[in-house]
Amino acid sequence: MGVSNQVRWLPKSGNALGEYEDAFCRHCHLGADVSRLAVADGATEASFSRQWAQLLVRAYCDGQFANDVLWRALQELQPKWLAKVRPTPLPWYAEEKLQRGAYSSLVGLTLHARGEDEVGTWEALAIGDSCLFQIQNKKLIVKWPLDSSVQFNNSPILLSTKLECNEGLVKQTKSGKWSPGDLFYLMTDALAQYYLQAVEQGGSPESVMPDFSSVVFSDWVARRRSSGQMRNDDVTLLRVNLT
Amino acid sequence: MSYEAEISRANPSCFLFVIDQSGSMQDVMDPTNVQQLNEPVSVDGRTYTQTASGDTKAKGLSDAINHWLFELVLKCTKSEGPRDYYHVGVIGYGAQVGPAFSGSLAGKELVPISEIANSPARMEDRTKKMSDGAGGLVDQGVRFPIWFDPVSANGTPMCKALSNAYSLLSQWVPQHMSSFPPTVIHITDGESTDGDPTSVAESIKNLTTNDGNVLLFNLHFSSIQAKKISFPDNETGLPDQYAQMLFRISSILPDHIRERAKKDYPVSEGSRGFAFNADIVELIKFVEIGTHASNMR
Repeated sequence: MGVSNQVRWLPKSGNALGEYEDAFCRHCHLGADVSRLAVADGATEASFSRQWAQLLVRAYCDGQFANDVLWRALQELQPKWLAKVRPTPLPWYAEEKLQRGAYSSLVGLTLHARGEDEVGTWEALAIGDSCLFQIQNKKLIVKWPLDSSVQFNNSPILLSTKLECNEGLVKQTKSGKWSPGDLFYLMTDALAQYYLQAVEQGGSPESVMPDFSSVVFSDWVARRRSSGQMRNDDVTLLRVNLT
Repeated sequence: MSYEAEISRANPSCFLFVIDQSGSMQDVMDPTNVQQLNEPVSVDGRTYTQTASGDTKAKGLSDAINHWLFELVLKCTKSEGPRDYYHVGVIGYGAQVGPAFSGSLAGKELVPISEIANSPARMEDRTKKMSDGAGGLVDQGVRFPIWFDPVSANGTPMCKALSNAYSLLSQWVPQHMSSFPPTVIHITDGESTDGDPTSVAESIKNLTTNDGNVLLFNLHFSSIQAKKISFPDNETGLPDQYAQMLFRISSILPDHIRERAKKDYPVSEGSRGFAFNADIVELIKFVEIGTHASNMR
């Protein structure tokens, strides 16, 4: 399977690079049978969400979410998060925020190599408002889990380090097929909302999001933020080309 | 458009409490177990005819402000620590007029929220109900920060206190012209003993950043037995001239605060930032509505 990928990310305008709270991970190797990629968006209202988002994307790419029991994977991750963020006693406010938990969205894509067929298969998992898009023959054939720019709001359901908050959380999954030449995007919410809106307004699914080898991502985002087309939030783009 | 500035570290906003600490704040707020005394007793120049159990107004007020500061610090705290989205001050008036923080913040006027977070006067051990993760509740010990202690003595120099607030804000505002304007929460139980505060209150409200005028909220803890009134749009139901005066000097609620208040109260376009005879729960709710920390970047 030929998988090439490109990642671009940027913190919210006004924030330092170290305050970026999205996360991404890629486990894709040339010729491998399975590739996994994920992005997550740590909730800024909580503390230590970046560390939670990082653990989630790594766990996804390590295959820890492959089984059906989301709860079990989260149960294993929560103590790792705690060990990361509380190596020493914390000030009262950090301790109180820690008790209130960290939150993150997650979208992960698993690609299976083609066998004898011309097409390969994929499956994806999503919690919250980070999105997956698939473009085939210049058409946007998958927009998921949100499929309209008006569906984004400030209170998506997120994965929490407070395990009781995850009770009843339904893992959304989707699967499909891919062909050589297909393009996948994984995006966190502000970028995904912008992308969907631009396509809804008649933009071409391929050209709305340029190839950032030749376009400077930070300039491109800054223009859209200042014109009000894109919300000022951390943004992450993971672009996957399949051959 | 007004009251839409994003609150950020580059453009912080400001909350200033002006707190009545006169002798009458020793009165019990929601009295229980009321018993008549055989004969009147005089304490600090005031005469008492009955005893009662319950928190004093001063204690209710200090609890409310400590609670509010606790939540504001947490709202501003991100992974790396508290971000300075706000400067906060507390002016007390009673025996004297001036900054009312306790501990290492004593004497400080407007303090960045990160300094408040790191400088409580002391930590108290309390318990709170927490989920046990299996559908039940357990008591868990928590450390609760205290910045502000109950104080109550002497008269009610309201004009001097509001002049003090005006003086602080007239320095702060020109340095933060792009900021969401300051919010002043004035809490009192009675009559000013140093004149009519209307003109100084108007001066405070006339201070303006590019995003709007300073907001003045008044909370009246009266000793008159009358029903609670929150965010009225006229003064006709108010029981005395002091409540009416405090209503008149209160700001009309801007849209974002009215939207938030309408979840709990009947409000209209003319509603003002005024409440009469709030209990402790109402007091906390009023302060939280008036100072809702929204739109932080």
